[in-house]
Amino acid sequence: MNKILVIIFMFCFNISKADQIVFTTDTTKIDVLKFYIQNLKINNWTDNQAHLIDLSEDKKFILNVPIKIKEGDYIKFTLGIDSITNASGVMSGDLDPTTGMYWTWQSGYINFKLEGTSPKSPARNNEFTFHLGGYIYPNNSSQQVKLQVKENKPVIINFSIQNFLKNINLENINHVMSPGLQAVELSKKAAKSFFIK
Amino acid sequence: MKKQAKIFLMALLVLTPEQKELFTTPEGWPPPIYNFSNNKLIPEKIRLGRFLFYDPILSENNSISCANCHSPYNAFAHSDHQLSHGIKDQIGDRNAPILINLAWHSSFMMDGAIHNLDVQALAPITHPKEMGSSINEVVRKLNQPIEYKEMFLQAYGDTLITGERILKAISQFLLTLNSYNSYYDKVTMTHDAVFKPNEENGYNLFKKYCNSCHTEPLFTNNSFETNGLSVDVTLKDYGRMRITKNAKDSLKFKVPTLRNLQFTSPYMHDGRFRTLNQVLDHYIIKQNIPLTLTEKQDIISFLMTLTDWKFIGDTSHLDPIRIRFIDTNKVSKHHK
Repeated sequence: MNKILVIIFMFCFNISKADQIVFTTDTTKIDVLKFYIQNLKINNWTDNQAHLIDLSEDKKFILNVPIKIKEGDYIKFTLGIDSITNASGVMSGDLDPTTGMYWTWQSGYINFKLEGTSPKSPARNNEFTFHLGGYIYPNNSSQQVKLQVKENKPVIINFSIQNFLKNINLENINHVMSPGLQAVELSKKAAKSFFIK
Repeated sequence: MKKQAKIFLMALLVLTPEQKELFTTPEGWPPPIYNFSNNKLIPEKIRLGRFLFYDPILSENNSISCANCHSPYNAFAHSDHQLSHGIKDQIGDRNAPILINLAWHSSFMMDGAIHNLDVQALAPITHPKEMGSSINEVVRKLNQPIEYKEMFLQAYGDTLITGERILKAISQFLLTLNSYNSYYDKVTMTHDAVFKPNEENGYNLFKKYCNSCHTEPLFTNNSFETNGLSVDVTLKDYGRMRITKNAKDSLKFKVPTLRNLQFTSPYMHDGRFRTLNQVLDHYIIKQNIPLTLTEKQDIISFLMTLTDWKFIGDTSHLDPIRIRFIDTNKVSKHHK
């Protein structure tokens, strides 16, 4: 009996087209999408390690988890790096600063990075850049995500770009690159943009 | 054979205590804040860190090393420069601070932006007005020369070069830059010396007016304070507020240590005061401290006893490449 659960992370623009991998719609283009997940919990099984899920080039990120799962079970994880890890100085592997997910001008991990272009953004080259992080009160930005599994198969966790951008007015908010209340708000939106179809 | 083994064993015994002294907490000092259990000091890592500290390979165009703004001849400060210097003759945004006794710091940078020594070097490596590079670029470049591969092998047991290993090695070297052998320490700690009357008077005035922030024995309380400086309109640096985004922290900067301040002029986060006289005049006016001219001079005389001549020019801290050309017996042993 195979005890390995395959979790596939992907992103989509549109929930109805969730299984297609597209980087560009007519209007929006995604250049970078990467984020950390930590404290993955499935039933009684917990994984404290942090994983950097990079969907910028590979389109799919596969995580193998040594546990069985059944329909109706929940997958829980933290989107981002918890404050204890953040306060611990330099680390290796997925947490090494060479991943580009560590701020250099101040201490702390970038939990979630989304960069792309949209005609709605008045910034240079229509760019938008969201580097979300911050671990010190009141700007703690890591979020809890809880998703219910619908099928006993490889689990596909999708991130909906449309959901995330839906309520963001790119005209006013197109660059968020430091901890603060705005980063916290956007992190909450990001956490709500994960779904299992 | 037996005798040789005995000699070897004795040599080991003699060497072991020396190993332990890679870091010492002087008597009467608080315990260090740096967590050594995550980065245990060993000579090979300190050596690697020392090479990295002096190597301009860390900068985008291989022109600037850490030592450019943190010179061992100036107690690892940047004498005579208001603001730090970077690649392509660029001028930075703040006065480069002195690098001593860093294990006792709870935060780094004048606004406390950095919480751990191990990630501090990322800031100057990346800042476009300083080294203008990136840790990835540094990893790539360090993978070229065989010498670094060998040093990483000695330090870490294999030749893998990662961001974490680079940064921890730099920390190791920095953690050996400890200064506690000034005249002041001889008077107050080891009682090998006494203050002259003017120094003694300056010390008493210091304890009355300055010690609450520049607290002994580190001569800083590690806190963020505003000292009455108005904002420099060309820099628009509001200090701690940038990090906390709290208006209460506007124009608060980290209290610097006063040890070796003879080498850290010009003073303040933007280097606006050239002399200690100007610094004291600022405090006399802004904080309404009633000092006579003589008293002011006595405080300065006392502050001069904080210079650690044993630390400055200590050959174990100098550029490891240049050190070959220095005759250790000829390094000047100044004393006041």
